[in-house]
Amino acid sequence: MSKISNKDAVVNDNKGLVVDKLTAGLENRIILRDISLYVRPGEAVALMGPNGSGKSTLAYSIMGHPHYKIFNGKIYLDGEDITDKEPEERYRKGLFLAFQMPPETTVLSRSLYLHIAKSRGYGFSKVLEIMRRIGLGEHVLDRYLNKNFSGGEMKRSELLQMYISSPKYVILDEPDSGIDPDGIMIMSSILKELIDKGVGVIVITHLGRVFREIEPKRVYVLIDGRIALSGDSSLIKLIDEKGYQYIKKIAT
Amino acid sequence: MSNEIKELERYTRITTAEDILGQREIGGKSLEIRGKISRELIEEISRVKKEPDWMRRTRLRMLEIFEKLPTPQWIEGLEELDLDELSYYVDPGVNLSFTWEEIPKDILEAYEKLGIRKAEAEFLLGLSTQLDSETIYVKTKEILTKKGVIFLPLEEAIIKYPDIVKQYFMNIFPPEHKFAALHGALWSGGVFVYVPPGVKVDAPVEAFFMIGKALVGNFEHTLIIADKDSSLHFIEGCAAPRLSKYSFHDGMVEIYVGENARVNFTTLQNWSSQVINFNNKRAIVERNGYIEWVEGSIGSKLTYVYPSAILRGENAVMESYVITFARDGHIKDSGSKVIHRASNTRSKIISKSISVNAGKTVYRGVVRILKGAKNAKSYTSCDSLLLDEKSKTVTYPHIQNDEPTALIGHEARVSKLSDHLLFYMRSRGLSENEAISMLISGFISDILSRLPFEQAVLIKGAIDLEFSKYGKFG
Repeated sequence: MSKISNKDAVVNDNKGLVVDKLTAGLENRIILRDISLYVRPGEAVALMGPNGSGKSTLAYSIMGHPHYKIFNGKIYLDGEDITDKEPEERYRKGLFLAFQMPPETTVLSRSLYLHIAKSRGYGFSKVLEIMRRIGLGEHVLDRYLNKNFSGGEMKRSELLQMYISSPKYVILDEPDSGIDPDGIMIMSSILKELIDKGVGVIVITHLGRVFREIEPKRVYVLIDGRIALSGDSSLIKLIDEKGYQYIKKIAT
Repeated sequence: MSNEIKELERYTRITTAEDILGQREIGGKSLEIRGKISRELIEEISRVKKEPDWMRRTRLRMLEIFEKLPTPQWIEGLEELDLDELSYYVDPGVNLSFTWEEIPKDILEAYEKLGIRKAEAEFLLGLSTQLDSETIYVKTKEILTKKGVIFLPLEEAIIKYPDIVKQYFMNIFPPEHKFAALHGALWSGGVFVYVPPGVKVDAPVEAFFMIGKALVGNFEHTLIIADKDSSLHFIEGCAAPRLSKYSFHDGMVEIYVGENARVNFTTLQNWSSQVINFNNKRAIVERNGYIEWVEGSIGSKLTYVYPSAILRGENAVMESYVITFARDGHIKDSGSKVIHRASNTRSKIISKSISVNAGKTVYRGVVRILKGAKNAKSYTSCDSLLLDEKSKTVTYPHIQNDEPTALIGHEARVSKLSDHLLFYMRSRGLSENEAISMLISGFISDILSRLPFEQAVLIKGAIDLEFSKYGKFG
């Protein structure tokens, strides 16, 4: 089976979020080995894999989580090496990570939403408009962000923050878990809009459902911390039908 | 609410009282009474203060109680306190003044730096300031006098209104523990406030207490009588410069809330980190009366304070909002106490504590509902925020209910500032300091939003400054 090379990534213009031969993990344990993948503006890619394969670790590493150490390899954003940048700098350069399970905070949702909106030149009315569009009730504004949020509220809240951050590249970590079908439809339409606007989107998932409306340009399959396989969107169907054990078998 | 919080975040560079005043002594010592606590020492304080005989006898009675009562077993961190080496009465040598111009320059400068003079000019209807054992400045605006409100140093009230003082003094808070009795024996300074029936005082009055020297005992006594249908907002401020050794504060606040009256009592305790701080605060609340305690406990190395109320009349209400902040191995033991003695009484206790750099916060609360307090309702919520692994927080709620129709709720939560949480906030574009500031603002937002804006800014500013001192947060 084939793997997609990063050589296709840089097409003269240096545009794209590129992970190049990344080996990363905790202080004393390698979790990800030699990961290469990329997304260009205005396209979606899928990062799939079974539970525990390292998908979230990869997302955190790309965003600069202090728990994870980069042993080797680089991360580029539009040609700029961001491997050693602080998470807030990566955000300011246009990277956004929508968490699978955002932590409980003691910040009123309103405060953070407003902070984000203002930093990107939006007013509070924009926040309210997007909240209505994605079906996030205004009652969350005066609650602590993510505290006692339902699964659907968490995903919608992350989606809202993503939208008002005006990102260039987004990584969504299992945006389709713990949310109802209506939520998935709304999310798909938001992602479609962003892609049409030129945002590059990486969706981490182990289901194919989120890709009904948006077809990923490439699919990367992460198994045991390595990209076992990559290819076009037909891989999704294959995984759906045969499961990861099969993929693992044909990859090795 | 959000706008206020947003506004607050602009003020994050305000410094604490200790930083403003620096290490120095404030005021002189024209008279000092020190040494072992004894009958003779108490008699001498009474003589110096030229007070009536009944007050001298009250002091001696308190001394006897003090000598009889044991030090509570659960108190920790008192090893340093040596009651034989303190100055129990220090006259700073400043005549009681009614204008700022009469105050010696170096002392005046301290009040100006702390913003007290500005606060008076901008929003206070009355102000008294005390340095060590004596009130040195008192002033009320005309509107207060016109309404018949009395605002005086307690010493003066003893002479002018002995019957009222006798009725309430050490009776709202009878000396049921050692340090309350000690206070009764040694008290000096503090204010007396009387609000006549039906009088609403629209803007706050303030008493500001300053300890100017090391190894001083400070025992001010605040007595507030809000007659029926009246209302009052009283602010208590405390500050001290950085001291060469510890000082000891053991104050008392007694409040009588008459029928249908409202009293808001706000404390901004900003002692320097050498001060050992005890305070004894209690209100008695009559039918339809309301007491609100706001306790902002920022400074001191050791604090034991529990604003309390006896809800004596039907429909009486206590709301208590306590913010405690412990850093650098300091201990803040605080909370609130309430006794429901009548039907339909209600109480709400909201406690928020923040600990950093081996700071320890303790929530200690008592909710007692007596038989016959039908349909009494009480709700307690204590939230703690730990900013690092070295810090600690514990919760000791005590609930005793003898009334089957009562409704009692209690919630306690601990939040920890983890690298993961910070990473989440940073991944939304906030720097580490911005993230911490926002997490703290949010944590105490429901209390801050109840405070006058100036005080909310001060509390938030003081807390932010404390964090900026630590490498990780700086």
